[in-house]
Amino acid sequence: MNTIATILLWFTYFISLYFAVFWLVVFLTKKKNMAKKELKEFPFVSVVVPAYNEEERVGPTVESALELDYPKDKFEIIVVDDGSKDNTSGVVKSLQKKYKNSGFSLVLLQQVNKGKGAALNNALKHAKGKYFICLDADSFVEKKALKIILPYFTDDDVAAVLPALKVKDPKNTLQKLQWYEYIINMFYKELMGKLDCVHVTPGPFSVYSKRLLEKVGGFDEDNITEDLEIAFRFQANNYKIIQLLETNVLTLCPNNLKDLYKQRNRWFKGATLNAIAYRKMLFNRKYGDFGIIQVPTVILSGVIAVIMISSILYYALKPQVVYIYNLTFVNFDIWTLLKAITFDFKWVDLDFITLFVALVMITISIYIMKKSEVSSNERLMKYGTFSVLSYLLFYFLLLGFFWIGVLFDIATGRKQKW
Amino acid sequence: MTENTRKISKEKYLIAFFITGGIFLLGLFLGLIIENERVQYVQDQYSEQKIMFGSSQLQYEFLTTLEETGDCPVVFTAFYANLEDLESTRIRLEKFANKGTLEKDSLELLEREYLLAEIRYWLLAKKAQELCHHDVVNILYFYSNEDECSMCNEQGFVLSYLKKVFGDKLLIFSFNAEIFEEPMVEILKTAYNVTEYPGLVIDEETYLDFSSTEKLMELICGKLSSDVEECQDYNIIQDSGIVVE
Repeated sequence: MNTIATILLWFTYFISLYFAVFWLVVFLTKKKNMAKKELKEFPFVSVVVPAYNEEERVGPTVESALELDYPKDKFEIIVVDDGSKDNTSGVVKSLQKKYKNSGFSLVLLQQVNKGKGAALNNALKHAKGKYFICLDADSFVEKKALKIILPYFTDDDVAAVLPALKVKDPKNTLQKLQWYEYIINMFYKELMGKLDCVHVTPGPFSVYSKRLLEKVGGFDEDNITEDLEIAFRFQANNYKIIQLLETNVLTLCPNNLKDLYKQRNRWFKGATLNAIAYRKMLFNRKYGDFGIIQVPTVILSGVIAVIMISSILYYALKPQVVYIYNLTFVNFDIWTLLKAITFDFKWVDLDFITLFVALVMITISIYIMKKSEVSSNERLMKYGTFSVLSYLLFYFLLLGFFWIGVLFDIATGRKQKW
Repeated sequence: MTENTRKISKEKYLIAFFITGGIFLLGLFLGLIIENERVQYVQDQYSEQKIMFGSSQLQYEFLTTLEETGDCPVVFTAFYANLEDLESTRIRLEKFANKGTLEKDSLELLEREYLLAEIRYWLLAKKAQELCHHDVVNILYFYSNEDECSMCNEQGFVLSYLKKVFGDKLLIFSFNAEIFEEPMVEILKTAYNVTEYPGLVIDEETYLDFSSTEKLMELICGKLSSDVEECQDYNIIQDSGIVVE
């Protein structure tokens, strides 16, 4: 049993290292970015804001969309109130009155609560734009976003173009850790874009070709991560998804562990279930690099996370648990043990293999963080050394615990609501 | 659905595989170097301890030639310190042997040498204690691996604790009886009728299966003189049931 566990652990180390090295190879061999494209004409676009109980956030989100540097008569904003119990619709109606004569369209659709996928599909039926843009109610888009994104719909196979996603104004340590996470994710997503491997079109300001969105059947209304599922569906139909870093969308993120767990539980579970649903793409050459590297990565992420966290907990906690158990045989006489404590450390005692693995992983992580700094145009030390070190040394443990919850839910068949 | 042929970055996969493999090989190479260093460290320690033992042996033989043995305490402070050093290296060696891969055979051979060294120390300790009339209790501790002995880890912990309580008044000689078939261990097991583990031999009396702290305190204090401080505290506890700080 011990041998099997050891082999599994070393296999996990190898796969994790392989994924990290692979994307570094992609980074080091990537071609220079194409020259920036200019928007030559202004197609009509529909900006859709799906909202459920967002009375506080929907106003600022809509107003950030109103500030887009784009001809007012060339876009509409559609807010879909997904059966909110608060005053979301009331806020939108006030905005409709406020901007009545300003020259653009602000549409309010109301429906019974059916989830985000249904809200988006409802908007899709009413949308007049050539491009369909999802803007979550907790997100804030840059003015220049549309002018930067739209030129990348260069051919009929481009299904979606995505901006960079960053955390807006992180306040506490947990939010700062997520800020680092998003910066590094953008580094990876840009590389994924180079290999046509983008596997998710996040809610904040993903721009879709309405034609292709309708062609693949719209969003999956029963899916807890409809943004990931639609990306998989695009990939399954060999359509392209382009990730840009030239323009940012700022999004709010959870500020406490409970909300973060709920969010990540949905994301990780959705990713795993969708990847399993699309398992026909696994290692399938027909889907290019997406099938060869991305689908396996999504499926294995959870398994690797759980094995790593379990082994860390086992090797870190087992000696302490055994020690406390042994103390029961000496009536917890810790004082005698402490009085006679001796420091008998020799360098040959160090667990060099574990140290080597940790050193390699930390070195790669630091290198990627430095490169992310450049690609995101942010300073990693912006929030101080403590935040950087916490991210580097502990954040993966937190995510590992979340994955344990996810795999437990999947194994027990626990239902998830959006 | 578009009919475009999707690209596969074959060369990138291969490059990444070779780099990853290279890093792993580097790790294995470093592991081999470390194992060699560990073997060398233990061998160096053993050479030093052989000399220390030889010195103790010589001191004992010299003492036997004297009519008075007034210098016994001075001689045997060094002896007890050497024994602790030996035990500490033996425990370290056992950990290395458990983790060892390529140098496992060398480490197991060294374990056998250390086991024999412990037996030599025990024999010398018995003779010296008789000569110097030391108030010391010797315990032979026979243990095995977790599969063969479910309470050996706990027994080892209790003995380490008692060693901290009694210091030089208690000598513990530990023998991993099942790692390899050492004839001398078999002779001792037969002589003291050690048929299961953990097995303790305390001043020629054998106790099989797990012995609790209380039981061992009673046995040890029963064999030490009555003015031993640790046993005085224990006797008070025994008599009154009150915990003495």
